[in-house]
Amino acid sequence: MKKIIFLGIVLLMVLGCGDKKAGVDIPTITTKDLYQGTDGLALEFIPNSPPDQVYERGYAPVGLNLKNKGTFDIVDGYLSISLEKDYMNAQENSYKSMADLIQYMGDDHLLFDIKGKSIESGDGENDQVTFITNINELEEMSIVHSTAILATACYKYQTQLSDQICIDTDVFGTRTVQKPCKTESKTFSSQGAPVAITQVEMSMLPDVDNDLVRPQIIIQINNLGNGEVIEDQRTSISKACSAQAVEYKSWNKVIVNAVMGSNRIFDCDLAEGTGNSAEVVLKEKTAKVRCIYQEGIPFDEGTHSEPLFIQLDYGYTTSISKTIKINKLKG
Amino acid sequence: MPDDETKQKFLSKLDSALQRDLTKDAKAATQTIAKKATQYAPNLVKGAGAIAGVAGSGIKSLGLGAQALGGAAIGAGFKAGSVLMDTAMAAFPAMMLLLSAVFLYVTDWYMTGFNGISLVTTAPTVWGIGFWLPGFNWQAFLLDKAILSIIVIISIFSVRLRAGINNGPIILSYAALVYLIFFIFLLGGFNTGLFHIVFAVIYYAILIKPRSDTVTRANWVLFALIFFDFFGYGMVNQFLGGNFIIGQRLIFPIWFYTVLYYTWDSQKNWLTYTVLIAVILINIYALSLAAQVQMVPAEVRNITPEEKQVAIDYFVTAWQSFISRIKMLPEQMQKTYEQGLEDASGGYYGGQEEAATEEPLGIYLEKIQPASTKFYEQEPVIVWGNLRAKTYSDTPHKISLSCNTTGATTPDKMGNMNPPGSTVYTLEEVAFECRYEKGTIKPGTHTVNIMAEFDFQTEAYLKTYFMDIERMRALRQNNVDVLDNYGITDKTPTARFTRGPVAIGIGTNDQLPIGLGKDTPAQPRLGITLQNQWNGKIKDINELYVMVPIGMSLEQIEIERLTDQGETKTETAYCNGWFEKVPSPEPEFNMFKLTKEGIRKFELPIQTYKSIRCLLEIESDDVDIVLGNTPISTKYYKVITKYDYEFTQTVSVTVEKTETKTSLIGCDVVCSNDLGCLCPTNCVKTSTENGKTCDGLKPGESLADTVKFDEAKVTYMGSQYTKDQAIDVGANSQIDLTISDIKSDEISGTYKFYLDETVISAPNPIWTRSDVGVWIMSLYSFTVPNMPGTHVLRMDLIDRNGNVVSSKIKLATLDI
Repeated sequence: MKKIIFLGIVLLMVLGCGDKKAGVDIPTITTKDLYQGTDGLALEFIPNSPPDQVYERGYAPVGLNLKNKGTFDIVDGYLSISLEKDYMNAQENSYKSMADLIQYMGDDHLLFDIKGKSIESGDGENDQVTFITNINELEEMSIVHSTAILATACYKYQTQLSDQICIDTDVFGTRTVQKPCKTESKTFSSQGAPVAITQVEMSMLPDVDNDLVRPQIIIQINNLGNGEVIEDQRTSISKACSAQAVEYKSWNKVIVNAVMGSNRIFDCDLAEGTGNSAEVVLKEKTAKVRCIYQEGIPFDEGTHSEPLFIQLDYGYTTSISKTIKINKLKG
Repeated sequence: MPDDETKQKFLSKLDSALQRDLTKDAKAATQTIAKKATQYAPNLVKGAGAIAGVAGSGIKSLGLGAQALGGAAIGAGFKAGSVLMDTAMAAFPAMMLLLSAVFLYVTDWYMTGFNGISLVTTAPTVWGIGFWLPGFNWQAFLLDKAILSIIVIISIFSVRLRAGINNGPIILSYAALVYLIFFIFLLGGFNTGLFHIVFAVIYYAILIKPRSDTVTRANWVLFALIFFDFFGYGMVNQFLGGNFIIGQRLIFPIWFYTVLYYTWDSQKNWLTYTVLIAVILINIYALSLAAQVQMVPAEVRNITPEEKQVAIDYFVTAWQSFISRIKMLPEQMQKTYEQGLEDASGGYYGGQEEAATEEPLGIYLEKIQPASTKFYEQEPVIVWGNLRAKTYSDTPHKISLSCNTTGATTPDKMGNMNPPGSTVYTLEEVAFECRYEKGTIKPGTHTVNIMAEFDFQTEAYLKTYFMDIERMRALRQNNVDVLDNYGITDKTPTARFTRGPVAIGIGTNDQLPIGLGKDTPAQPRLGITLQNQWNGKIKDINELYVMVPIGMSLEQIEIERLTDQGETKTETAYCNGWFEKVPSPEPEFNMFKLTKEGIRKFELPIQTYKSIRCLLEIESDDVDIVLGNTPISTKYYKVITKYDYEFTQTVSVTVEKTETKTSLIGCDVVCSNDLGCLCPTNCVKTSTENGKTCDGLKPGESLADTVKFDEAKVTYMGSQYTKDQAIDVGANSQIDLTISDIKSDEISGTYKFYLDETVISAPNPIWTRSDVGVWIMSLYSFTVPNMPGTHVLRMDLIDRNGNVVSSKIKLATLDI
């Protein structure tokens, strides 16, 4: 009987290790795969839209491809198209969204909802917006003119990190039993978002008087994307895609939340002491934030692992441009 | 303590030595003094407590010279020293002193590594700073200070006693010096800084004191120098940071500069001039680069390899900078000159033709050429050419053409241009002719100027960027390149102008984007340059328009004008009254037209370039209009100008006199006409030049003089023979005789052949001559007479008049 059970377990382990059909590996998306990459919204011009050269008094198609390569679903993202209106103007009624994820709001501004990667859907959503531009007549004596089309996307995004941390209440190492885990720093490359948590330094601050330890984490945050971070406020995000003033304090601001276990919320706002969330300002695209679980963990909980969940909330803005040449129609 | 006798003895001997050495080399004097001092210093040390402290503990270790000088200076109150030093200074070559300073520098670098005393490490214990720190040794501190105080007090008394000095400031200065030197000694400063003390005393004696007004001042100078040498460098680095040159001993050697200063002050010769200028120049250029050289704080007492490297880098960089500046000097001067011109003319704003590869636009004169290579006075002078127009404008261009001549000897004359003008459209070509009727232009070489004046239009635009100023500041504060952030690659836009004879440059603020805010009004500048590109001039500006984005305006001012009725009227003027606002054909722009006053500002005609500069205004309410609704707003400034352009192309023509040539009646008549003469048909030449006959002969020359037979050759049976060779021929045989290469100016004639003296043939006339004077050939066949033996074949050359030009020329030797 024992042999049968043993064989059964072995078979289960062997067969259960992969999804094999007819000898072909079928890739599966794991959570780990999802939370990879430093892209949020990938913004790019569709090839040959606009073409490199156009003629005056003509038309030029412009197409933008928007793909959410990150893990967070973008809701009410803004897209601003900037044309040199002395030379080209978009036809208002020509804006078209292939997957209806992008809506034209007027005045060369668009709104988009594009979902990110998920276990269910795999890749993030993708949509293309196209429009037609009228090319104006060049100046009387002008032969050629280079003009740029700029596109700026502004959207709210989120970075999430889930990992296990080791809670070691035996700070002084007095217990002789073998510990199941070790408190250590961890480094990460990316989490499927432009702002990444690149390191979490873990330490235990003992409070002998109360027989407890206070876990402390120092989170290093980096803007690894090719855009700029703006505070997670709708107004600020929309302003970033307009000409309106966006004040200094609104830039590079990230809200940090960290939770351990089921409901052990870190206090990351140590200086202000107004709440558990911390507003961190990235300098030179990086910042560190210190979070402490103030309530502490009793010594008697011993050494054990707990899940750690860190969430960064922010706005993100990225721009692309393409220069096209307008030629004079001779004759 | 030495008794009075000893003291007097010392001083008198010192004076004697001084008197002896007044006119000698200072080195010898110093040695003498040193010997004397050495002799007496032990007595001083032995007898005097104060100086014993200094000399016995500190100066004793300074070495012989230092003991002597120190003893002499301190112990004897420098009484004799001052006289001696003046003399020594006068005699001591500046070169030696400078070399000694260099020597000190080298010893620091290679031998001792001396780098002063760190105040940081000594402060808590020695200076008493940090007495509250744990472990502060009060006993040691107080003991040190007590000993020092005793030494100083004794020194003061000693000085007073020895030198009879009863002057408080002098005593105080001596005391400070003694205190400082002994303090340095206590801190171990003599270990590696001994040379510095020695040289300090030498320089004091030879340079500082003689050049100072008072002894007190000299003492304090020495005090300051020693203090800086031992503590100053470290303090500069400690308190001011490591980026100060004066904190770097190897870069700012205090003793070298001291010597340089004093030698310069006293000996202005080529050496001090050279060294001083070199040092100043190096430091001027090096100081400007100080920030580029990473300094190393001198917190350690020894010079580190890094500091040496810094010093090397410093001097290398300084030298390279100096050389590069020298190399750039002409360019800088040129720039300065041009800048001056720019300032005078309102600046210079560059631009770039918008399409360099396209065919040029404008009006061109092509294929200009005279109708003939030379003209005679009695015929018209004509220059032809084509006028070519290429423009994209639908507006026809009026072109007027004219021509004139300029010559060194004749006044300028206008020619008749046909057509005198034309109206051309997009692409046309018109042939023209500039004519001077016969006799209008005197003989000689003249320059014909073809002048074309036409109206033309050039347009230019300059891209610029605007952004909300708060956003811009925020991004910049975060070290974000604003333009990069929005994917803008054209970060420094250049004005683009259309092709043609005039370049338009437009300039605005250098730093883009331009930040705009409702509360922070911006006044971007706008400069416009009209630059002549062709070999002509901008004769007139008919119209010039400046277009700025809607929401912007040229700076407005209220000016008062005098009306025709003599009344004063207040008007709004733009940009100093140089522009007036006019309706814009493009709704996105405000348009301004150059006024007459503005045209005057350009100081026509423009042969190089002229500029004007205006400020732009953006009202608070218009900021949103300029910024638009996108994060960054791209706007254009445009300039359109219509102008008259005149340019000239030149061609040279030669006009010759047209007097008729004289017709000569004989071939041997000499021509006496400057224009030459026409010849009869039977002459060598059809025309001849002045001074020659129609046979091409000068007076006195005969035709024979021109005939050369040396190269005559005979061809027989396919073989060529020279006249000296014998040819075997048979009697009665047929011989084809060919004679060639006889040179002559004669054009034609007859000849006779002889065998010896017998005429064998006289063909008539059969020879002619080429134009170049070579008689080509004559083919003659004859039967060899039956005259066995060796005969000479000869020839007579007879001209067309029957005269024998050359008689019996030997052609060949025939063996019959």
